[in-house]
Amino acid sequence: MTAQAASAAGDAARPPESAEVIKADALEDLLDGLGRRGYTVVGPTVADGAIVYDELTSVADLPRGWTDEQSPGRYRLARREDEAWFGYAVGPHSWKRYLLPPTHTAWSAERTADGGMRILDDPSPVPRYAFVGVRSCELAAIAVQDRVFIRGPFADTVYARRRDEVLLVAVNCGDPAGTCFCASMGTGPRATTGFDLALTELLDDEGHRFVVEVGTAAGRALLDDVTHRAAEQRDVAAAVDITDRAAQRMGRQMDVTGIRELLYDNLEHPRWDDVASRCLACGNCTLACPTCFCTSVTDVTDLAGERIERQRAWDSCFTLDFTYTAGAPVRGTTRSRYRQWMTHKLATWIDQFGSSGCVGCGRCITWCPVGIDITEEVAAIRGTEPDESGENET
Amino acid sequence: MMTSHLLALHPFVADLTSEQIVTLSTCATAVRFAPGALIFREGETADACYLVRAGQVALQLHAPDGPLVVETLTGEHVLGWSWLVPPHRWRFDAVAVDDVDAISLDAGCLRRLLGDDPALHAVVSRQLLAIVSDRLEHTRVRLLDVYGHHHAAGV
Amino acid sequence: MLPVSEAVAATPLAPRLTHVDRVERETADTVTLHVSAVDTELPPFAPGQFDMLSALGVGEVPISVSGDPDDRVTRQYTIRAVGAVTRALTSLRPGGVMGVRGPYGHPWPVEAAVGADVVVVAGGLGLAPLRPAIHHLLAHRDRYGRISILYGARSPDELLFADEMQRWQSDVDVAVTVDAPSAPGKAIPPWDGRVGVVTTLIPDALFDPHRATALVCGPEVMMRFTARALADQGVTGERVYVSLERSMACGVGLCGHCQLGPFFVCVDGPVLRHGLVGPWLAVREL
Repeated sequence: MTAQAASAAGDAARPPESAEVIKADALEDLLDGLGRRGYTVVGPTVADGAIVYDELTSVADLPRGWTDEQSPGRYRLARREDEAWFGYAVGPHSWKRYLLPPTHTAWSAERTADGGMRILDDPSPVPRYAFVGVRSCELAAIAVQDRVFIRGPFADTVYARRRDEVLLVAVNCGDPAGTCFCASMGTGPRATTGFDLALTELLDDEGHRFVVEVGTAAGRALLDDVTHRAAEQRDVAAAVDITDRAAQRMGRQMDVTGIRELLYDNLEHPRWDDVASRCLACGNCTLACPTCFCTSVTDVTDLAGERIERQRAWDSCFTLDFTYTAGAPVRGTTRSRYRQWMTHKLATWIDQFGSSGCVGCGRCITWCPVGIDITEEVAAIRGTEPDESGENET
Repeated sequence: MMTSHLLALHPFVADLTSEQIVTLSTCATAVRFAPGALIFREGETADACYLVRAGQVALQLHAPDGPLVVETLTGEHVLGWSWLVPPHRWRFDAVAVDDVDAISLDAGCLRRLLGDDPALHAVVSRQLLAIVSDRLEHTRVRLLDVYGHHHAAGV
Repeated sequence: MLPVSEAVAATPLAPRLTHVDRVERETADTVTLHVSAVDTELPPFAPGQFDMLSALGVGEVPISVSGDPDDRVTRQYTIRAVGAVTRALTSLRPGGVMGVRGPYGHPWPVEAAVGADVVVVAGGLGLAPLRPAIHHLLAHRDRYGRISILYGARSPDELLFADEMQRWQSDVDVAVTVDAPSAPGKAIPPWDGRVGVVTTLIPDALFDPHRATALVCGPEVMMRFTARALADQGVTGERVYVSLERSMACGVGLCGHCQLGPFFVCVDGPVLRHGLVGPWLAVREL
């Protein structure tokens, strides 16, 4: 892509250094190439009235011609006017379910012949996944979880081993949902880093095709296996236009200026009571969130006590048990649990991991059964923060 | 009767002027209690305020199966404020646990001085109120039985 | 017994197996377990660090190490039976198997405290996480100024390490107080010591408030009152350290349970400077 093309497209973000084009048909070859390399291909597919992530056997599994309509507490599939394969925003699933499965065995032990115990090897091989259709916000979410699970003082081996093997084929977002706000969070809609390949789906007069950017040598090798051509200026311009227009059509926005201080200064804001009166403490937001990482463990034994498994499962800070300490939960009220979730996501996360824990994907808004909107909650606190002079800005 | 110098060393009079200390010393006597000595007894007339200089005192109540210690006081402290509040009767027993050195301020003398000098009354009352609120806080914390709430071993 | 395989040892969540060598009863509901590793030695710990202890088949809990940090063979844990896991752990008998992984967390600042007075304030079971620090202070007695150990417990029968405390007294100042010297229906050894909250010991303790370091462990309420009493004496929050307790499922900063504002108690604590953590502790239900 040329500098002129970039400026013509008005794209202030990093323009693709070089791009190529594959015809839509070639995506099948790309998936085959992944299969030949031993990858289990996971990508979007329609199931149970939603676009979820599951194993793909061919492009026929993709949600061709479907889109998603999202608003607080509401998600519906709808037919598109075109036959786009990636013409939706994001669904209830996120990639974390493949990098840290919702339930898994942390370790197991069995009784030895001499009556002792021994800790057993994890017998399960590390799966080798290729994620196809990763959104820019999701790349950001994976980067956030990398910081949690790999960059901390102790690496989570379950996550790290899977993550090492993953190949990421991003697909840029052209059709953000009503609950999306990645543009506010600086995490999208155009993928700029963290992918092996990044695709932009084009459906115009020149046919159904993908503009492909290469992020890594593995991505290059994969692309070289399929028929492709160098992108022309108009291909690139069209691709950039897709995400530029998407950035303009974000359903929501969040002002993140000084958000850490804003929340630290407002831990007793009356808005927490207000949101607590609506929140069901169901934990849907934490399960749908692509960065929420909390887990709990439970021991499971056979009846004879010969074998023990320590099972690990996703947990949610919305449960009462989550903070059970010294005979009582530390966060006994919904107010305190919602406050914990939101201040962690948007403020303490910055202290802990050097970035926000929110990528603006909007899942917590869509999948909240009562439609609590994190962007609205932040705005409400910001709008009614007691100002320095002691007067209220309301 | 004792010199005002000894009295001036006690933190209780830290906020008093040297004139007030001299005045107060007219009520003061140095006293000493041997271990086990009863300093005062529940129900008796509260006839003194003790500014303890050293030694441990146990405040206790008598029960059929023996004394119940309510609190022990050590170091420099003030023992007894029932002399200020009618009907001027001790509400607990005070027993010397070890050698107790104290300055005894005669209650009648003290009440007379405070009646004559509203400024002195204010300072002394404020001092006593601070002591009472500290002891009340300690008592309340103990009522919570906080140590029992600690599980495991620290973490 | 077979060694733990390398692959499993790589996961920070898998414990090493240990044998219980000895069980010491401390109080009615509290015991000290002496354990040693089945195959390899347990890595050394610093005073104030904790291990994750597994009652196999029941679960795992964080427990501060309560023994001597110079003892490289035996690890001690003082545990009160309060939940399913601690009940299982305190029911272990010599020869029993227990999982251990650790040590984790930030220790007491025994090095930073060198050259000045140290005030150790413990409440109830809070003496256990402080005991390794006391061992360290005693082992390096000449490096410190005055050392005061102030200990408060509910009643005389709930005092931990009472015999040991007698020995400590020859090198350091020890003051002990109880909330209740006697209790109805409870046979308690006669008590002629102090009665009152542990904070009442602070004004009588001898230390230079402008240089002394305070190590405080006990229930959160007790630590709050203690920090206030120390501040009254002139010890600022910058030199007051507390050991915090929060729900911990992993001990290694991965499970998210033990957060207190920006802190993960497991990796940023459990020992934290009160001046740093005090404002967060003051926020209710954080």
